[in-house]
Amino acid sequence: MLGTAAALALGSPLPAIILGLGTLTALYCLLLTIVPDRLVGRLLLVPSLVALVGTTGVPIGYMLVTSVFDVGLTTFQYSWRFAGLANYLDLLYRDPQLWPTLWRTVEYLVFGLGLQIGLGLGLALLLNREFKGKRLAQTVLVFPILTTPVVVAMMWKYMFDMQTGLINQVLGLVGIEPRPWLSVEALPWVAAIPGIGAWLTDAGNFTYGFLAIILVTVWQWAPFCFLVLYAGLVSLPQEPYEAARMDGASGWQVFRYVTFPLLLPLILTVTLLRLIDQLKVYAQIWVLFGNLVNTRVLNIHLYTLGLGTHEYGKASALGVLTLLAVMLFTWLLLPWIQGERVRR
Amino acid sequence: MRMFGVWIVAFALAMGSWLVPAPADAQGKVKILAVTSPETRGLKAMAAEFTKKTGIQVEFSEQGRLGYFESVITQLVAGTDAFDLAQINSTFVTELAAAGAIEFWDEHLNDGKRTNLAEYDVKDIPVIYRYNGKITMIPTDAMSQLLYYRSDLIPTPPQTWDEVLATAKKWTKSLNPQSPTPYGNGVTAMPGPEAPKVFYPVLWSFGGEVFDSQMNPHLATPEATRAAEYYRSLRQVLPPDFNSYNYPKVLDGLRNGTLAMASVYWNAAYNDIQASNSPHKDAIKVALLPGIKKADGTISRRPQTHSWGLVFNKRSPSKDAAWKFLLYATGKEGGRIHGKNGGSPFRTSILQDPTWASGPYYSLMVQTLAIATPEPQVTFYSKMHEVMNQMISATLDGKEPIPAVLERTNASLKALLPPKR
Repeated sequence: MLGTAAALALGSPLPAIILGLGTLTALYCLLLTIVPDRLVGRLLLVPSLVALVGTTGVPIGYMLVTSVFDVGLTTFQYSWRFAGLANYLDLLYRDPQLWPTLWRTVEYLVFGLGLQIGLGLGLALLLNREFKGKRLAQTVLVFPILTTPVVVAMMWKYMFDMQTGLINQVLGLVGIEPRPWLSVEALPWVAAIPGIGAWLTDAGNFTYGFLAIILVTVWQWAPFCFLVLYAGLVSLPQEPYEAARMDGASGWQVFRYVTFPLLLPLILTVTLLRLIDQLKVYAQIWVLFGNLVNTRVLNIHLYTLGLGTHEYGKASALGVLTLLAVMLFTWLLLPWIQGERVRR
Repeated sequence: MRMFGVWIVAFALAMGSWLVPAPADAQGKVKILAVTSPETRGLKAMAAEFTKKTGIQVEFSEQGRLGYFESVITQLVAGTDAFDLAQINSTFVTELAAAGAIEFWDEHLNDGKRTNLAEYDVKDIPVIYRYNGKITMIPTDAMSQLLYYRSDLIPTPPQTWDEVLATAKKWTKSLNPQSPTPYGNGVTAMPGPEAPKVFYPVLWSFGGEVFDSQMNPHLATPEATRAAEYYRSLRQVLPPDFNSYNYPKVLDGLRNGTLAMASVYWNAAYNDIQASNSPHKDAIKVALLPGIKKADGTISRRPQTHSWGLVFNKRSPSKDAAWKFLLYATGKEGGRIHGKNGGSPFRTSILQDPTWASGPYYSLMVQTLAIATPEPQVTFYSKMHEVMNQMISATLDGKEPIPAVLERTNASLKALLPPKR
């Protein structure tokens, strides 16, 4: 308080904030010296709790409040009209983009996650053997994770370019015509499926653009899945493997009845981590297609509502719904991750 | 031991925080939030001269184009005092004024102590943006659209939209295997700040409008239908990945020879092309935007115009210094320096000065600005823009009949209108 008051006298908020925080920290340290030993542990948790509540609790609370008010760009600095559940109902019943976007998000999660986990697991099994150049391969595989999503997307945007992109140049070497990777043109081999081809390409998003988005995501994040699953593989107990070998189990049987069940909690943990992260996808899709409605997923729609059209109330309502969805997924997957269902 | 360690930390923190120097007086410094662009290069050159004359420092905080508008609007509406002025597109200014986020210029402009009106010469300014009669922005750069074409392939630029399509077909490889360019035309069709602005000249010249004079949505009309159908027909001469074409990609397409023409493209690209080392830069020429041939033989051309300029943050910490810079930046001297360094000057006296503004580009800009039309200046611009982006995507997508697209867009626009009193 002393620091803050003194600093305020200087007429600038910055020293006020710094001095205020300094004084508070000094008081906190003083408190640490006088509380009984049994309370020190709890007192040491206070800064982390304050940081957690400040960076997560307060924004979530603010989002909940905003979601029940009619607030947008032109009303933000004035009085907000209470809207009750109108923002939620507006989204669910009157937003023409919400349901197609949700469907696309589910597809993105299913295909993206499936390929990432599958590829990650395959790589982990492959690199769990000894061969020359193994360490180099492991190191190279980590590169995509270390790169910022915007940079990854920009790099792929150049590679996907129809005229000058590397991918079409390589395809050209084997006699394949250039493909419009950055378009929403239907994938011809899917469109050719009798009966459902047209539906898959129109409603099911089987387009070059959507495939490009999935490829970028898988390229960047399959190595993460590999890394976690590989760490799990090398730490698995060896006794079940020895027993299986003694029983004459084939390679597939060892994987099916030993490796996979033992690795399952870890696979589910990676799935949950990647699921939450994929729900947050923004940069890759934005760089490739902006907010094109045909490639829009939940987070891009949320961004468009919140920062594109500045409908803060509606965007907050969508944020709350997204948060609830993530909580639901977590609640459903948690027993599996903790191993309860697996053990049963 | 515990007490000793804790006291050491407390002492260090307290001493450290008390010793933090107070920030330097901000009154002599102007902070500007700007986007990375040729216009900002011009602003910086102008700012350097301004600092020499006044001693007032000008500090730029530059951001990339991606998400710039969202960022600057959000910061202004949230009430930031991190900058005094922000570079922005005129299309967002009405919304910002309605939001109470920006300072009106009138009080400063009409204060004789702060402004020498005779020297400033308001009459020389072709466009002044207002909200409820009050000035919200005087631009630094005038933006409009020109036709860009490869003169080595297309000796005479097309004058009508039909001629554009016919010429583009000739220079599209899939339709003419002898064409040296893969595609005959390129437009910025990627949803974002530009796509609707590029469609408007087509819509308007066909006689269509987004709103009628009574502010009723007016897209479900035969004129708008013809315009949208024409726009859809361009698909055959555009690159198949047209969805990803934004300003830089069209520019790259012209410079690397992928595109023979950009039928509706920004005047700012002229400087970018001239400054490049493209093998085609001398062959790339500009012309008036095409239009529709009327019964009397004249051509109805309706380029879109908007401006770039600086808005005055309502919570600017150094308003006096910021105002001095605004006057300089929008004045004659600042305009000339700006124009020589990559900007697109807007003052009539500068554009018409033959000793300074020579060459075909400036005379074209004078002609273009004389016939150009701004987008609707409405307080729900961002939402309208999103609806129009969706309409253009659906138009170029080609799956849904055009009348259905326009009916739906009309209904969406109607839902945006404030309730009539």
